[in-house]
Amino acid sequence: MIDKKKLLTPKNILVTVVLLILALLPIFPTTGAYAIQLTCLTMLFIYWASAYNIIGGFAGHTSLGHACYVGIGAYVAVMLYLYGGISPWIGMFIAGIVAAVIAGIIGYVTFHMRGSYYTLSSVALLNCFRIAMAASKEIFGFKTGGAVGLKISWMGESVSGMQFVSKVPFYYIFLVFMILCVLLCWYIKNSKMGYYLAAITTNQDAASSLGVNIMQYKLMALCSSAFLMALGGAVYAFFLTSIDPLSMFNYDTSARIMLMTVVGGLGTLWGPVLGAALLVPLNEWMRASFGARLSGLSFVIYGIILMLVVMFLPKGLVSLKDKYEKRRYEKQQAKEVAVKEASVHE
Amino acid sequence: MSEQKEILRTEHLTIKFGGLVANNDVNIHLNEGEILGLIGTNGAGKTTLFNMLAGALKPTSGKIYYRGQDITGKPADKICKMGIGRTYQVVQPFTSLTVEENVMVGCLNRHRNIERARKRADEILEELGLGKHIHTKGANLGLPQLKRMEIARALATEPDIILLDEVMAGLNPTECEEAMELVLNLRKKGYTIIMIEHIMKAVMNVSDRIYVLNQGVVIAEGTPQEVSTNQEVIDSYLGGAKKKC
Amino acid sequence: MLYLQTFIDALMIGGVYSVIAVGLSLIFGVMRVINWSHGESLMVSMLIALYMNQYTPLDPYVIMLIVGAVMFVYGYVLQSVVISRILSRETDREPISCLLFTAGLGMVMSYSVQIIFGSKQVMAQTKYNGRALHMGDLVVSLPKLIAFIIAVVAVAALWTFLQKSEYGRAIRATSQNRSVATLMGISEKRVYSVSFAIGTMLVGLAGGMLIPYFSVYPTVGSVFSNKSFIIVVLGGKGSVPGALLGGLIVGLIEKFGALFFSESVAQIIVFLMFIAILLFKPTGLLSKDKG
Repeated sequence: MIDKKKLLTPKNILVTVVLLILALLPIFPTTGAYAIQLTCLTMLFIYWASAYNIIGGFAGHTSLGHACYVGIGAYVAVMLYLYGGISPWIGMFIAGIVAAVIAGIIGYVTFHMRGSYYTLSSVALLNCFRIAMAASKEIFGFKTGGAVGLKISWMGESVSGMQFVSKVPFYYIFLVFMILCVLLCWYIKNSKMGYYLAAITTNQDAASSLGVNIMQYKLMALCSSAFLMALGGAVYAFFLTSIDPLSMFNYDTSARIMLMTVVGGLGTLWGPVLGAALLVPLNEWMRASFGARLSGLSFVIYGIILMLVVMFLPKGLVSLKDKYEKRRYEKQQAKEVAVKEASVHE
Repeated sequence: MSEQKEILRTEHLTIKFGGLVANNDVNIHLNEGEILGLIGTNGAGKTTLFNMLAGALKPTSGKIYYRGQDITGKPADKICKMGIGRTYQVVQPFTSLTVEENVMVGCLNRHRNIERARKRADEILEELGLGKHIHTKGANLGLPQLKRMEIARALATEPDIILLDEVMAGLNPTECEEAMELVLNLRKKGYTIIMIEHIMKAVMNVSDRIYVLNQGVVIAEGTPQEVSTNQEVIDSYLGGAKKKC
Repeated sequence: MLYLQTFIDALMIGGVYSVIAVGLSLIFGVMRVINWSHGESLMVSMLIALYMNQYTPLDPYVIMLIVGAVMFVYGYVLQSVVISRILSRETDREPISCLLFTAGLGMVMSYSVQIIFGSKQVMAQTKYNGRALHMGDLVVSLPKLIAFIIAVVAVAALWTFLQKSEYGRAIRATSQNRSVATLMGISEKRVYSVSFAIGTMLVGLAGGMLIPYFSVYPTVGSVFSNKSFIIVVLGGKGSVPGALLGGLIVGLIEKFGALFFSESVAQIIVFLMFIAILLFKPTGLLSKDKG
């Protein structure tokens, strides 16, 4: 059944090689802690950007407050662990559901309206959560730490408590998360939901006259995106071992996640992967080279990249390949025509 | 065709936009297996009526019954699922999708499975003579093909009734002939059809019955023969239309 | 007495919110575009006003007018040169690429300012700083009062312009139906550019009127833009009186919320009201169009 030629495309070979390198990287003795840390962050942002892409790309609703669900995921999982003793492996799913429900409410009130209402409320929601978490010392009688946040105190190496001395276990968690998220996006894109969302983003009226329940599919996209963001947020919290409102419910993080997806290619499978894989290391490199004094420089460059991409490459970096192929195809056609004409002249 | 079964009926259907009454007290009925023509000048409210039947607009007052069931104000996707498909006067393709994918969106209404939907879409496109265009993007298709694709898309949702909104506008005479043939073929396959059309020859040849709308009101109903001899229709519409041609 | 004082404070800040939000609302209503760099434009306006105040002998309110004119030109050029190009490419979706573009622009603006001027808060020194009118027990800050009056006048002037002038009618018509302006013999692009320019001009005025009592820092824009997003929804997109009402309501909730509970609770109440509006009257309090 399986065609060997189809499996051995350059893309598949590339993906396999990259995955192999990623899987083996921590084992190489030369790999330092910094490389692990950097790769962890990159994989996490690939995961988040892919999750963002479900609502921002497939469903076409830009969010500039998507870190809100990261924060919700982090806080719910950490508090469940600290006060309920619930393992983060279970807690993160509860956190995901909480995030999905909150996203669902926002989606339900804004998707009724045409226009960028969801985008407006995504930022409002993010700000609301950040302010609320910074101001309140406790929720339902449990301490949240206010603006200072919460610390996950070290209680010894434990798999169920997601506490590890080394960052390598997190490395593999992020790797698996990333792979699963990309696979899920692939599945969504090639399922009924993917086709419906593509139809909705290009022509909402026509889609609805073909039996597509617009609200239902947009909500499905938003809730699954929020759920995935929160799962990532929960693991991220245990990776950092401390959380606070400002760094969790962060506008810049939201903007970066959006930006990576747009730069790579909104609504494509590989766009967010490519965008995050390029921009996270760029950011870290700039931070290392320019230090804290010019910490804003990376955002200036981010902003410029975003503006350039929107102006000159609206379908993102992945569309470069299509452009290249189209140009090659046209050249070939021109050649064929030239050859034909030459033969006629003879 | 001795016993005619009613499939769709409107009662006192009225819609207002601000102060403008686009449809006023429209009472029409549609029998199973029939081809019903809707004619009238521009702005007579034909497309508005379609939009209400298909659920894209909510009537201000009045009722729509489909197989005896009240469907007034139901959303478009529900109405599509119940068995009313439509095309648009101004074609509405999914520009970024291929023709095949455009039709698949309709097929997915009845088939969950992607591959089955794809196969069904290919069959429908083949039947409508769009077989060689299946991988063309919606944005790159010519108008006659786009109109056909819209019909294919509507058929893909497996409707009982198809609302055709000016599928012949902008087509040349040969293409018109083909489109008329297509409509008659659809009826043979058991679809019930309401069509809005400006091309008189087409409506008169194809329709079993015709309603004439003028300024949002039904001014005449009957066979093509009856309608074309109705004085009010001639005064308000046909006279003008003839001059235009 | 405390309540009256709070009420006055609320109105004064609410007026400034209105003038900022009405610009955003106009652009959103006419072009369906959200100018995500709106807050950053405000920040830059404040910065220009601050430096002009420092290095020229002009009165801050003359400076305000100059900044308004500068921002008008800036908005006109930005829309006619860049944004119109992006917008014309948008065929089938909501025009999100304009939103993305302006988000990038906003990032560049606020972080460039941070790199060049640092992130500390700077207060302009004008002759109006700290001046106040005493009326019995009531204290009314003079620069705030002036800002409120200018804000209301500006909003009223905009409303008159939209209602009475030929151009204003073209702008209003375009917000309902894109093709109408063309029928009126005015190019759609021109209408867009003028609307966009008015939007940024109002932000320029707001920047000028804020500096005698509000310090400048790179992220000051987001303080106001986040509120304007909410006010736009509250008042109804494109509605001038709606933006005025929305601005005043947000000002009132903030000040009274802070009085009775805390500033954070006030922010949360504003957000909940935003959700409630979307749920029960999604077109906004004073918008006539449906959906």
